[in-house]
Amino acid sequence: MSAEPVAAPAGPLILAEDLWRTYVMGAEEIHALRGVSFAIQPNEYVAIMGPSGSGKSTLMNLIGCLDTPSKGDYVLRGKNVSKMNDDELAEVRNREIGFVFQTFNLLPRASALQNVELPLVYAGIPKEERVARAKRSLEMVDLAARMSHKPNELSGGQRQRVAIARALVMGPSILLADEPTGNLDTTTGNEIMGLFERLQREGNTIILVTHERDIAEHAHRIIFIRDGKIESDERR
Amino acid sequence: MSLTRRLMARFPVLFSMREAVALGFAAIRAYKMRAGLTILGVVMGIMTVIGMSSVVAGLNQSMAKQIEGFGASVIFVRPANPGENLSDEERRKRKGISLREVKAIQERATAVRAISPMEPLFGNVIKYGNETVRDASIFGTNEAYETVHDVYMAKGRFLSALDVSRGSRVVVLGADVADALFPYLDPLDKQVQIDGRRFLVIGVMERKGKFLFMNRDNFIAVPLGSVQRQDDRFDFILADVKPVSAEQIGTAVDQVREALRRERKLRFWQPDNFGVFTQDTLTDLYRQITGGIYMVMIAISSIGLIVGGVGVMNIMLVSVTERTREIGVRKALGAKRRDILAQFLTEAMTLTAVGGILGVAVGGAIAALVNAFSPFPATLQPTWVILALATSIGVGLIFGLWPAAKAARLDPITALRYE
Ligand SMILES: Nc1ncnc2c1ncn2[C@@H]1O[C@H](COP(=O)(O)OP(=O)(O)OP(=O)(O)O)[C@@H](O)[C@H]1O
Ligand SMILES: [Mg+2]
Repeated sequence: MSAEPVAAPAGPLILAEDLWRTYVMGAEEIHALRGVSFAIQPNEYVAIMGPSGSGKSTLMNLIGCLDTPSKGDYVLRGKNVSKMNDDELAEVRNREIGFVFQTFNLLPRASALQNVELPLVYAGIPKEERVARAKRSLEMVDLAARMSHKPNELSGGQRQRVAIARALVMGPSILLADEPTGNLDTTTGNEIMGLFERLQREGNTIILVTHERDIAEHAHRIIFIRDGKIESDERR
Repeated sequence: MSLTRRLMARFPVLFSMREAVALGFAAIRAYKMRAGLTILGVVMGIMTVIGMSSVVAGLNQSMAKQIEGFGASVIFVRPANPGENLSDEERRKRKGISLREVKAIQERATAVRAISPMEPLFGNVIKYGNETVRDASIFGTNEAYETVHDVYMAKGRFLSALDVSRGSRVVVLGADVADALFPYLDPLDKQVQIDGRRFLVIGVMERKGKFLFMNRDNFIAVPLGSVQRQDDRFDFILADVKPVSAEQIGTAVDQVREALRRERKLRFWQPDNFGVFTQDTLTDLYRQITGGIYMVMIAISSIGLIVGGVGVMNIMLVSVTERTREIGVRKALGAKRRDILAQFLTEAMTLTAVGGILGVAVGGAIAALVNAFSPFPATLQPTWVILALATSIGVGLIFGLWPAAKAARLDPITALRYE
């Protein structure tokens, strides 16, 4: 499904223009993002770095359409997402974004297969097709053999691979990972980073948040933010 | 094909329904004790509805038979109306009517076709050979009884006018009395003893059947005045009256009352000191009683359902809080508000539906026991079963709404960060 050609409209996959995100706490205003602009092309592999409290997660939430900017425009595949309502955002998340979380966030009572099926359920895809696509997705992360296992019957690395299969199953435009190796030991972490590299080679666009330099080194571009602003944006 | 696709796109919920029901069962399994106590209220409420409606339905069915058996157009003249509110003293003063009053009705009430006075005789023992019957109701009556009550004879004949005017020592037996006194013999032309006096059996009435505690076959009729002496002023008499036609029953009731009021010289402001009523009055009274049963049923079941509903609301609120993170994940993966709403509503409805099904089972079992071991008939009513199940699911819907809406409104970022 990652091989499906993205019907790329003219222009970048992501266009962020002067993004602001302001939290109002009583009389105080906290500017978590202060005018962030960048563009990301299809099939890029980008790492976002920065010290704690710099605004990384806030930016990830905007890119992942979990939140909308207080000011500025966020254009995803030619569509301006900034003014969408909750349900429209949910639909965009379902189709365009594949989330990989630090804590995996699998449903504990559901099997690996059922977890991977979940985005397809919300896309309204019938059971048979759902199962077939979820199986294919699990094969891509080499977990077809563990399909019927519950999360607590899987190792940390296996759990994260289930989460990646779930993120990929809808064939999203972006794979968005927030500290995906934060809860894994070094060896398993490296395995996951290897998987990301393979997925990028197969055509996926990956955006990764991390505060670890050597994890960020895997990416081809590093955006460094500090105090809600982009400090540097280097391609390698 | 494209339509189903479009429907699926619009209602993804339909395809996660089984999942939501499964989650409901999972919640029951996870919190066995709490879920059990919670749905107990629903079980009690539904059980009450099923049990009571079955008994009332059973009563209704035998009541319908009863009305047929009674003949709908009979007017009853009694010391008091059924359900009339009288003090004990007043009740003691009320007697029946006298033979003179019966004659007055016969003369003045033109809409009356036949009037059958009935003199109840108490404490009588009926004997034939070694067989004895003690608990039969014995009435002294006249030939009109046959017309008024559409009596059918199994054997022989009913009392005639001649029997009554002569005060002949003859008797007509109800089916049960005949069976008890003559297990092997033909009762006709045998001499039975009533309080030591001999009566000739001239007929046996056809079986009429039982209704609740009333047995209309444990009955015998003798000519009026053949046991007690005939006297114009003797006033312990009841009377059953047949109007000239069913349509004239209202007129006949008015005329009977008028005749009695005149005979008793009641002033216009004085209320009737007797009762004149029809089958309709009994039916109305019966409706009041069953209406009362329904009210009690609704009250008990409402309490059960509300208690159950509040419990379900509580368990769902806990469930929403415990699964905040899960809700965040689902939303991140594309669940819309209505998906989350539907998921938690389905879960709540599954809980209460389980309660409802248990309630129907227990209620049905109670109805079966009542039917088998008590004088009340009871039949399970499909309509009430469906209504009860719908109600139990409705309780889940109503009381699940707030927790489900709370879940649906959660902000995905806050929910994802919830520990
Ligand atoms: N919901 C919120 N309400 C108020 N302030 C917030 C909220 N979320 C984030 N902030 C503030 O915005 C700033 C940026 O936070 P953010 O979570 O994006 O940082 P981060 O770069 O992800 O940090 P970390 O590496 O510790 O995860 C911080 O000062 C934080 O306190
Ligand atoms: Mg963060």
